[in-house]
Amino acid sequence: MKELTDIALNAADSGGATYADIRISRHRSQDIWTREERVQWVENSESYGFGVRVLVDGTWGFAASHRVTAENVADVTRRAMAIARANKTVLRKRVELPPVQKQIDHWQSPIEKDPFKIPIERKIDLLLRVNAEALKVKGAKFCMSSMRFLNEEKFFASTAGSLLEQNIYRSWPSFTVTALDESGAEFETRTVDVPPMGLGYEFVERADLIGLASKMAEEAVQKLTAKSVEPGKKDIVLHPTNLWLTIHESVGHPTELDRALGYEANYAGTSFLTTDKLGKLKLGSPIVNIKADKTIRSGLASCGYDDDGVKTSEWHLVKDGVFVDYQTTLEQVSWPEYQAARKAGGLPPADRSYGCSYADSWASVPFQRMPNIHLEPGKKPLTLEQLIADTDDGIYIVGDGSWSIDQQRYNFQFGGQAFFEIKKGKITGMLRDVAYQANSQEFWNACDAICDERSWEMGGSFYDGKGEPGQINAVSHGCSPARFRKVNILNTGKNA
Amino acid sequence: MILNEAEARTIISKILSFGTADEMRVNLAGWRSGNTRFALNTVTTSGDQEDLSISITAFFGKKKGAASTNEVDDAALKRAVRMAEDIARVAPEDPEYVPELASQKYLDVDPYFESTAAATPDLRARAAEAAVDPAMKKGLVAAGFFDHSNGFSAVGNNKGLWGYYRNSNASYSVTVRSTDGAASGWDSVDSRKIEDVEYRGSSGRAIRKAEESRDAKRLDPGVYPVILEPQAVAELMSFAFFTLDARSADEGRSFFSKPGGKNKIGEKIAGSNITVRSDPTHPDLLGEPFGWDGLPAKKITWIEKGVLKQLFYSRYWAQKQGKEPTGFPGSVVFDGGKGSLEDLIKDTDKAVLITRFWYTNFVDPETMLVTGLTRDGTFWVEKGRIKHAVRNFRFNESPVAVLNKVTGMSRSVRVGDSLVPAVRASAFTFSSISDAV
Repeated sequence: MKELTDIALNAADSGGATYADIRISRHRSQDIWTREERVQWVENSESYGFGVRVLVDGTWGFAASHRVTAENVADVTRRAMAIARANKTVLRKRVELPPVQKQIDHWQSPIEKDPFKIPIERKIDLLLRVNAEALKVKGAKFCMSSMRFLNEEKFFASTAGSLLEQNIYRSWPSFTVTALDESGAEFETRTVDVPPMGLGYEFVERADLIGLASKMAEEAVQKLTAKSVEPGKKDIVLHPTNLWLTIHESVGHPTELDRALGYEANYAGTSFLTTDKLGKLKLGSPIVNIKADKTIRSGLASCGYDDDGVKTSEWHLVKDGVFVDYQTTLEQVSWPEYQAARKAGGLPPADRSYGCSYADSWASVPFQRMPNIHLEPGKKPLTLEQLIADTDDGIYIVGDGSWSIDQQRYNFQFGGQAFFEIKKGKITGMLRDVAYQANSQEFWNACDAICDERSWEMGGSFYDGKGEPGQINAVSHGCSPARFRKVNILNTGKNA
Repeated sequence: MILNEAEARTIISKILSFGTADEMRVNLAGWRSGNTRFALNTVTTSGDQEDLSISITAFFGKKKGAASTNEVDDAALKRAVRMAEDIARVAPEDPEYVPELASQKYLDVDPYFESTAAATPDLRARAAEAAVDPAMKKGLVAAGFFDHSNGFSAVGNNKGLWGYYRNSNASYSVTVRSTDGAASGWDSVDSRKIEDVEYRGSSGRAIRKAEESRDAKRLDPGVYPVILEPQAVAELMSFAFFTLDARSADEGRSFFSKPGGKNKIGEKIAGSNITVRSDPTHPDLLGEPFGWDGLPAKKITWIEKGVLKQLFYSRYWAQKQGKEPTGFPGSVVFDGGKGSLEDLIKDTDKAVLITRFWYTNFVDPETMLVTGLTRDGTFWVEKGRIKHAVRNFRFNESPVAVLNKVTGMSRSVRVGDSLVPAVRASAFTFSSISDAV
C-alpha cells in the first residue's frame, strides 16, 4: 500500500503542492430487509478506490478513482493538481494549514463479533422471528425489519509523514410495526428505539429485538385509539431516544464552524451561532453542558484519527449553559475569524484541530463533519421516574419521529414514536398527533432538569447529510432524560 | 469508468458465464463526474471522480441474493458472483418472486451530450467567477456549486434481456447573501446538456433576489394565498408524486388507501386543472429508458384533470393484482399554463411568493401532512408586483390540499428530473415564523 501512497505524495511534492494526502479505502456493507414472513432483499456490497487531495498555492484540488494501480495513482494525482491550478482564478482567500503532526498508528472499532462473519441465515432467522412476534399482537398488520452493517478499511498517508490504518465497523438492526384500525381507514406505525452503534454483531444480539417486538406492536395498536393531544404550552420530558435528534439538529449543526462562517450557505445553510456569540451566548440553562467527542466507545463518529490525520479528542461546546466552542478541522484552526472570535469571547487561542475532518468514501473530498455530541448527565441524583413524578402537566416523548429545522437552526419541529400524558406526576395514558416546536436557544434555556448518569444512553444516525455533492456521516448523541418547560405543542391530526 | 455498449456487453456476458444460478441479472453502470464549490466569494473544494458499479442478482428457484462490487478483474467478479449465489442458496423462498424479464423494447431516448462529457475544471471555475465577481461588486457574498457527470447504464440477464444507454447531466446553483446576513437569494439551473446551464443568468437572478429580500417585514403566521416557484412546487409535490404506490395504498397504509383494501384510483383527488404524467421522451427531460429490473420506462398519466388515473405497480404487485407494471414515477411532467412566473405575479392581487422550501418532512403520511420552511427569497406580492420581502415561515400543509386550490400556473420548467410550473394557490398554512435568513 505504501508504494502506491508514495507515488501520489511524491508526485504532489515534486509538482509544487505544499501539502497532499491520499486515502485508499474499501467500504463494505450488508443489507437485509424482511417483511412479515418473507425476505425482501439481501445484498453484500463493496467499493474500493482512492482519493488524492493536494494543496497548491493555497488552493485545494481533489481527484479519485476506483482503478487502484500505480499508473492511475500518478494520473489522478496530476488531475488533482490541475484542478487546484484551474481554481486559482477564483481564489480570493488562500487556504493556510497549521503545522501537521506526523502520526503512525492503527485503530479499530471495539467489536467483539465481526458482523460480516455471522451467517446470513442466522440474521434472517432473527428478523423473521421479530416479525412473527410483532404480528401476534391483535391489530398489528405489518412488520418490516432490517439489519445494516458497514465497514470502512482506510489507509491514509500524507506529506506530513503520517501513515494511518483504521478499521471502522457500524451495526444497525431495526424494525417498524404498522397497525390498522378495524375499518381500514386509519393506520399508525411504531419503530423500535434501537439506534445504530459503532459495534459488532454482539450489539444486535444484546438488543433484545424479539422482546421488543410485541411491545412495539402493542404501542402501534394503542396509538390508533390514543387521545389526540390538546395543543398549547406544556412541559415535555424527552427520553434519550427522542432527545438525541434534537441535540443533533439544534446544537450539533449550529456549532459547525464552516456553517457559522458561510461555507455551507448554498445548501445545508448557515448558523444562528455566529462567531460574535462565541464565549458569550447563553445557549442553555446553567445545568446544560454539551460535549463533542470523537473517542467514546461505540460512538458512530468515533475513530482514532480524522481524515486530516489528526488524533481525535473531546471538548466542550456548551459549558454551564454558555456556548464556548465549535467543531473544527485542520484548515479551520488557521481561519482568522475563528481565532478573533475566540479572543473576543475571552477564550484562549486554538492551537489544534479537534479532528472533525471526514469523507464518506474514497471518492469524496474530506470536510468538516459532526463528531458525537452529548448532553452531559445531570449532576444531582435524579431518575426518570422521579422526573415524571415531579411534573404536573406534561408529555413524555419516546423515540424519534418527524423532524425539521430551518437553515440557521432557530425554528425546529419534532415528533416522536410514542407520547404519554403526564398529570400530577403520573402517566395517565397515551397521546397521538403530537409535535413540539421551538426556537433552539429558548428551548435549551427552558431545560430545568436532567436525569443523572444512570439513565444516560446514546442514539444516533447513519445518515447525517451535508455538503455538495452530498455526503453522509454516522454520528451518535448521548443524553439522559431531560425536562423542558412550557414548550409549544402542536396537534398534527386530521382534525387539527 | 466509461464503457461503450460492446465493452459493457463483454463484461456482463463474462459475469453471467461465471454464474451457476437458474437466473442471473447484472446491472452495470459507470460514470465520471466533476464539481466545484465556492463560498464567501472564493473557491473552496473541487474534485473529479470516476467509478463503476456492478450489481449481480442471482436466483435459485424462488430464492435470491445480491452482491455488488466496483472492481472489474476476473477474481473480483467471480467473488461477487459467488457471494450473490451463496446468499441465494441460504435465503428462504421469496413469495414475491417474479421471473426475470426476457428481451424488451425500449423507448428511443438518448439522454447524453458529448459537450457535458467534455466539461473541464476551467469551465467550472469560470462559472464560479460569474457569481463571485458581480456579487463582490455589489458588496454581496456568493456561495454555489457546479457539477457535471456523464456515464452509462446497462442491464443484462441469462434470459435474453439487454439494455444500454449513456447519460449526462450538469447543474448549477447559487446563493447570494448580504454581508450582514439579513438578505438571501437563490437560483439554480440544470440540464442534460451543459451549454444549457446558463450560469450567468442564474447568478443574476440570485443577486436580484438577495437585493430584493432586504428589510423583510413580519407577516403573522396564518393562512395566505401563495405563489410557489417551480423549485418549491417540486419539493412539496415530491411527497405526493413519489408516494403513488399501489401496494401501500392497497395495504391500507397510504393517503391513497380506501377502506376494504381498495385505493383511490378513479377518484377526484385534485382540482380539474391538475394533470401529472411521466414522459421519458420529453425533450426537456430525456429520461432513462429502463429501470433497475430492466422494465421499460413508459409514458403514463398519473393524475388527469384532477382524477387519480394510475398508481405505481411493481412487477410483483402488478402480477398479484392483475395489473400492468408501471415502473417508478420518473420523468414527471406537471402540466402548467402558458405564461411565465412574472406573468403569474402580474396576474395576482395578493400572495406570499416562495422561492424554495427547506427541510421538508412528513408529519403524517396518512393525511399527507408535510412540514418545512421557506428559504432564500420570500416576498409579499400585491397588485401584480413584489411589494416587499417577508420573514421566513414554517408551514404545516398537505401537497394534495394545495392541488385542490390552484388558481393559476406558469408554464412548466425543468427542476431536477421533473418539469413543473410555478403554482398559485388560494390558501396555504403557515404555522410559525422562522428567524432564519
